[in-house]
Amino acid sequence: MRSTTLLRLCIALLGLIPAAALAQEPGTQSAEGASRAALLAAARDQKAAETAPLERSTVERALYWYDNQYLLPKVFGGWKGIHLAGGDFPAGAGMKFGVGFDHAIGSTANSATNLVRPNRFDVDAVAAYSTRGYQRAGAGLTMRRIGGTAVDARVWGQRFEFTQEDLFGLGQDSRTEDRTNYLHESTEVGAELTWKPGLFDVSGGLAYLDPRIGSGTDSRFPSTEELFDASTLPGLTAQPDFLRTDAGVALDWRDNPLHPHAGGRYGVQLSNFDDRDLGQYGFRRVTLDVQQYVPLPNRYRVIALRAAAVMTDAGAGQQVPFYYQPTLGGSQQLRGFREFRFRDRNSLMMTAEYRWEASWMLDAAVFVDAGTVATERSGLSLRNLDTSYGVGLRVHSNSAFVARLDLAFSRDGFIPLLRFEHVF
Amino acid sequence: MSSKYSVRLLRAALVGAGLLSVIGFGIAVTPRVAAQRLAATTAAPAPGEDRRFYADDPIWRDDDMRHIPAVPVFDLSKSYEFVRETFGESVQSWGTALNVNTLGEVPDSSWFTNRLGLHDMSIEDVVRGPNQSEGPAPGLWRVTGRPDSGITPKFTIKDSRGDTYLIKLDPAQFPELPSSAEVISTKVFHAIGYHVPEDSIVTFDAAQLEVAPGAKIRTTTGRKRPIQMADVHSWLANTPKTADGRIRALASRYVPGQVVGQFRYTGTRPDDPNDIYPHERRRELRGMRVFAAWLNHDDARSINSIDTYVEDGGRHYIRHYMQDFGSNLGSGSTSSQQPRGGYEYLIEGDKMARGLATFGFWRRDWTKVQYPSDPSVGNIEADFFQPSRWKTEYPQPAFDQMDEADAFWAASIASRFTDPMIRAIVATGQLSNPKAARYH
Repeated sequence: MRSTTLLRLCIALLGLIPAAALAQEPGTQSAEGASRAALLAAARDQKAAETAPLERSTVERALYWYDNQYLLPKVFGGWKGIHLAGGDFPAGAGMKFGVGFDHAIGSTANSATNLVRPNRFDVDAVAAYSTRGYQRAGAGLTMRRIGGTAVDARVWGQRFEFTQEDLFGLGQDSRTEDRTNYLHESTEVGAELTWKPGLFDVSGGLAYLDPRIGSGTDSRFPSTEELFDASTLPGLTAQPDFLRTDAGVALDWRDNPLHPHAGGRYGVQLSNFDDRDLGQYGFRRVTLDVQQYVPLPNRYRVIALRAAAVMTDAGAGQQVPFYYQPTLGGSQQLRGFREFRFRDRNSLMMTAEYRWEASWMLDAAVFVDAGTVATERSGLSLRNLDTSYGVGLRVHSNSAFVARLDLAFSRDGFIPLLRFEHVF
Repeated sequence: MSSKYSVRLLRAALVGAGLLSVIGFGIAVTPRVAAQRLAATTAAPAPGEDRRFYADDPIWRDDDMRHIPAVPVFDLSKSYEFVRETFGESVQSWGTALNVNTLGEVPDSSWFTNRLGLHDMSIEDVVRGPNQSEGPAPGLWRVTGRPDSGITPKFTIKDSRGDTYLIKLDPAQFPELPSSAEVISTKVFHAIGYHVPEDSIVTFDAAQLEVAPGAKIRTTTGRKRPIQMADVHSWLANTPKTADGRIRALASRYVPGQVVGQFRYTGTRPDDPNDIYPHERRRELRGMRVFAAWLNHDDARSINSIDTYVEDGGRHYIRHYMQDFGSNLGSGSTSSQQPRGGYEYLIEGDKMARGLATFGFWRRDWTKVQYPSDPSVGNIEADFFQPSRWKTEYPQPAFDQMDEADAFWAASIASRFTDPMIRAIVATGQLSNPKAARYH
């Protein structure tokens, strides 16, 4: 007999006999059995007489069905390219309903490399509506990896109608009491090229815009033209068509754009709005956006920093229409203030977030946002910043962001924000 | 999958997670109803029985391989199992292990066959493990399907002998990692005494694959469509290649018999007369915690088991298999093991609250662990590892019931593995980096 078995035998004899014997409970239910094997056989005979089918509880049935019906992919992933879509409406649009369609013409990938096939065409379309009457319909055609390079070309068109966009006046001193709303509708077509060599993202495009401004439909607040006029709000009464040209470049070395913990993204975008009708509203716009993620030891904590500036330059005799002026407030910037709370020809915004991992799928954050708007670029002073601060929870998977709940505070009060997009 | 589509799915997953939490709460407040129903089917002891020993003690074979009529397939729900074990209380029978003989040993049964613990095994025996062959026969492999479950890229083939294998691919950034972890673990678990599939490392050329007539794949939305050769090439595109362009993978032979579902680590199967011991009171399932901790088998859960209705000498009965060891050791199946793996359940309310409340200044001690940089080793180390605090992905009721006697039984078997034996087992993982093999 092997030494291990001998050891066990000794232990059994020294005191574990009762415990070991007790372990024979299934065999002890009948004293008639002459052997352990017979007792176990009797127990099995008894069970054989009482067998019952396996059953699922209601909850288990529901979850089993859920596991096997591909419910979420069917609802959110779509069917034959058709899927639910939100319409990318601004905050305050109400509940959104939309349908999108994505379709790749031809084979989607080179099977040997899993890269998108060169010169592949992708078609996309969306139609969405919200309970506050916001509407958007659009479509696009994208040619991917032209000639096998990292260049994509896209043509697109859309029409949208945003029925109650908020406006509190211009400048940092605008008041909540002056909240108004206006209709912003536009028909737009455009074409763009993007080139992504390595960490760089280079883009350029051309778009024709046909914006129209009208009375807002939110009866809780006055329509914008009731409180403001064209002398204080450029573009309120007349809206020309625009030809917009864009060029941009960004350096993106974030470790994971869907849920960054390190790296950064530095981008600049130049746009020229050419007034095609009135010759009064031509202007240029420069957008700078810097994001930096500073991992603290072991990468379970990170300091996320962002600074963004938007500057417009109208030139002599020209004005920047209010509906194209940069704004601050809302879920992405200066979160303690409502969407579009501050608006002027130039804006500056800074954010610092300290994020830490509470569990594998839940991060927490404390944040401070600061920002200002000004008519003149020189007015973007650090001494004139409005601030908001708050705390947040972020749900994520191992590799991607899912949703966040931010509780933001400012001099205007408290705003809870539940969003399915990262703040940055 | 495009990142846009991923985000949509992840948002959908959040909705699902919220739903699961609500359902989990419901389970947590009503655990006993199901427990009582299952307990009624077990061989409960009769009170007042004094007799401790019988003439045939200690028994070395528990004859739970008696003929039973065919049973229907009963697949478990992975969502339900997670919710039930995380938020509910699934244990229905408390106490010491029941299926042991008077020496505290586990008799041979449809669950367990004593091997290294009671018998001498040569290194050759251990290395051979359950394998009856050297893996899939060379020549043409017909691709017959692609399982929906699990996260590892995989597909099924039928070789020229007509045997069906599951081919599991390594991720591009972690060559050899999951395949080696799975083969090594299979050999260890087999030597201990568990029923496991025949696993082997294979290398093959994409040219030897052909889609079998009628083979279908399920799309992400559940629709079935025929498999195209382009699909196969797409699956292989992101897997590492050897210097001569061949693909290394794990081949796992389908276990014998007809699959009738998976077993739970609690209760018994009510339609199986042979199954009389509540599973949470089976020593080989409770003591498996020791082996699972050793091999970092944090995926040891019900849905990674297989019950098959087998024919053996004219009898038919259910045999119980352990499978899916791809996230063992330093592997996380599609990447290296998450640093949390083995140290914390997916959801632990107190730790989550502490993590939230301390602004990240409370550092879980396992976050300080330094792992080797070799991608074929992954995140595994032995200095910080403490078997007693090791954990599965979510609570495992049989592991939670392990007592000193169960642990002693398991530890005594583990002690039978010699260093040369372990080295030989690790060699079956065919790690190309000798340092990686030595590290294991």
